[in-house]
Amino acid sequence: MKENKGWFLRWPWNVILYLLLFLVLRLFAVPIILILMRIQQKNNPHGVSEGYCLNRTRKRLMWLIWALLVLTVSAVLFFMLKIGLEQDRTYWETMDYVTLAVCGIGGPLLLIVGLYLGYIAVRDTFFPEKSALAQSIRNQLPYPDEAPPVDELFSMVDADLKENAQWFGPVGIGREWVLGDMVNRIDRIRGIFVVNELHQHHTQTGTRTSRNLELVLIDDRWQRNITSFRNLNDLQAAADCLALRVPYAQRGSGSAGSTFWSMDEISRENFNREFRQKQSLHASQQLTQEALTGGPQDMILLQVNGQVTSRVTQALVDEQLRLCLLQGQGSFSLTPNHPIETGNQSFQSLHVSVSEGTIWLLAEHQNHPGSGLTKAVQEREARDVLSAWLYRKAPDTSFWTPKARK
Amino acid sequence: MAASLSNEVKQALEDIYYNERTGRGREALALLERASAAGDGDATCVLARCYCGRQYVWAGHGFPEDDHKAVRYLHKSVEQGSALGVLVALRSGELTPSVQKKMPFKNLQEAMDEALALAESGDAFSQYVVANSYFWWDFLSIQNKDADSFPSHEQFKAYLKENISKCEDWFWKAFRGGMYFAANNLNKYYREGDEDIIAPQPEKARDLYKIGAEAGHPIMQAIHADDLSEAGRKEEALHWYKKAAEGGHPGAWYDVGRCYFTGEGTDQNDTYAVQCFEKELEKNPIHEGSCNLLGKAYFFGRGVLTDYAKAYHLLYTAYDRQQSTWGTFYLAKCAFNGLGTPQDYGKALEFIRKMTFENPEADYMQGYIYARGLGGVPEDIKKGVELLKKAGNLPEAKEELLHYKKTLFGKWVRRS
Repeated sequence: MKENKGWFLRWPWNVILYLLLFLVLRLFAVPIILILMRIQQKNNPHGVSEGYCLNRTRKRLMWLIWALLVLTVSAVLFFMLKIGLEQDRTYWETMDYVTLAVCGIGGPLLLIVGLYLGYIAVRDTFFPEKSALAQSIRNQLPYPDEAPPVDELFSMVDADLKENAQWFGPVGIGREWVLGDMVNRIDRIRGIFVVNELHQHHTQTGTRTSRNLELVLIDDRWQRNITSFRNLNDLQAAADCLALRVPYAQRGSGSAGSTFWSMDEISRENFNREFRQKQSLHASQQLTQEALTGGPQDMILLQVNGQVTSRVTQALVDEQLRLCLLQGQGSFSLTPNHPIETGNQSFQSLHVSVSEGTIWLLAEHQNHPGSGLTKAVQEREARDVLSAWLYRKAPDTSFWTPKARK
Repeated sequence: MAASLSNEVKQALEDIYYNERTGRGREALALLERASAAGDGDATCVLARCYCGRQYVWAGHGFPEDDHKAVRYLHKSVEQGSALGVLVALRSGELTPSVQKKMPFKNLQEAMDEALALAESGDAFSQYVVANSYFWWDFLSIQNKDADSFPSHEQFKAYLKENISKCEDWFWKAFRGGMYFAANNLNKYYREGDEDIIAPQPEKARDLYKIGAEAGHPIMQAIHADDLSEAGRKEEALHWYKKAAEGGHPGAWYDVGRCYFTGEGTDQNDTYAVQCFEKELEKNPIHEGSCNLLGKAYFFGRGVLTDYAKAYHLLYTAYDRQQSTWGTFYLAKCAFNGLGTPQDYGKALEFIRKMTFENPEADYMQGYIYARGLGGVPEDIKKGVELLKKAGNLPEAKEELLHYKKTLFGKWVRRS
């Protein structure tokens, strides 16, 4: 993903600005804050500038609002408890005692919940090394206790996502890592489940419907990570994408995830074993196929005798040079299936010609047949250049001469 | 006026027509050129035929087709006094008044009489020429007759029938004498008859090519094999394809290879099939069928080690030199994926557009190209998504589709 060069405020200045706006404008600040957040999102998609992982942990600051709400409710319940205890209970009915009980139990409970939410919010936002996200990354490593520092952990995931990510709403799927509310290593995923539940709440004023959209990923240690979605299409697409990456993972929806997660030890072992067997079989089939095709075949050799082949080996290339030198003349060329780039130059082909015993190399520029950089070389240098070319390394053309097509 | 053909002409006819498997076609041509230069009109006439293309001479000799040369030689043969040359020129529409003036015969009948004499002497080529004169109604010009020459239409028809029917016997004599081209006209004579004058007799045509095949003519063996193959007699067909191939008939090694490649009339044997295709390509490096099937063999590693560069080169040869669209799907795959050729989405699209059948992989490749605006086409995500969806359950298409999503307004956009 490219970094967007548009305006955005780095954390925590964006949060400070939102708070200031709220303090000054109260409720009227809400639409302005929403617009600013949208601009932030557009110009810094998924927090790419600060790091995806860090951006995700800092979003936990929103939990502080929930914590405050819960603590407020808890305070109200404590107040009601205090009032209730101070009252004369002679004429109390059952409901009054029930209310007292609710306040007595709910107050402390919500206090604990509120404090916990506040702790999580502060911990994840200001102490990312202790965050649940960082721990989820450590849990994916072979030795979680020996995990590197949080900067390195986050940069590992960020680098992969920056290079390769496909984003489906809140979830970014890279080549190795998946970032949702937590992080998963793709090759450790064993279960991919989609939760799409409709909840109806009947109230005095009517029926309220809410939808629960979640992606549930279960890894090979049977750890479960859940990410909430707002859009069903994004959720399905994310699940489809992961299923294509891990074709042998268990796929399902609804309660299938819970069933899979609650498998006993033996069933888990069996599943893991089958999974590894299928993967090995697939890998060995790919190896066999590659052996049959003679490797990637990403180089085309036009031989001295005019024949072409993409089964190019060092020995074959050496043989071409030897034939040319033996005859005192001749030419051949090596063309990669993608141009070889170096610095600000891009080469589409390397031509070797021998004339009166002199070896000439021509590194042809992309889209300019016959034009490029040329040099007369000794046999040893020719072999070195050819060897490197086979590994898609362009020669050092500092002392080569430009050649234009006639 | 020749009462018999010269030894040079007889030898040349033997090597070019009656016993063409000897492989001495080039020597025969040189012999005819020398004889023609020396004034042998019949040699000039046969020489003219050699330049008329595969309808008149076996393609296995590799004689170049040159209409101008053929006409020049034909005219020369008339001037040199060849009766056969006169009849052949008449048949070809080349006996123009100015050319006719130069012939040393008093009239066409005199030339016909001489040709008949040669035919009576047993020369198959002469018999063939004479037969053609009857078959193609040239006898009208020769005898200087037409419908008005007869008191009634029925008498004219009777005259026509009497003369046309003479071709049958002469064609058989020519055919048995080694002039295998006679079988083509005999086949036409039996299957179609001649207007309402000669009724068709298709049953007589049934074994014509079999007779020619058994007589050892490679072209007849190939045609007979085609007929057998069409009739579902694949094993027998293969037997005759092999004969034709061993006799040097162009394209026959391809047919043999094709049978082994597809397991038609025999067990599949990719290795042997590849050898057959290579034999065909040695004689004709741009043989369409061999280029295509050998290209496919290299693409899939059938009978040979997979070699995408060779596959691309062969398939492209057929595409470029023979305008063959058979291999365009594989060419598209090569260009799309950079297999055996530098990756080029524009070329991939060009090949896909030339495909004559639908294919999910082709839909995927097109969809990928349009959605990403590659290969010089402007980005068209909507079109690309339609094509990707058309590719159905192809895993690559499904994965590529995940890169796009529909907005609230129904517009397809790329995911960030």
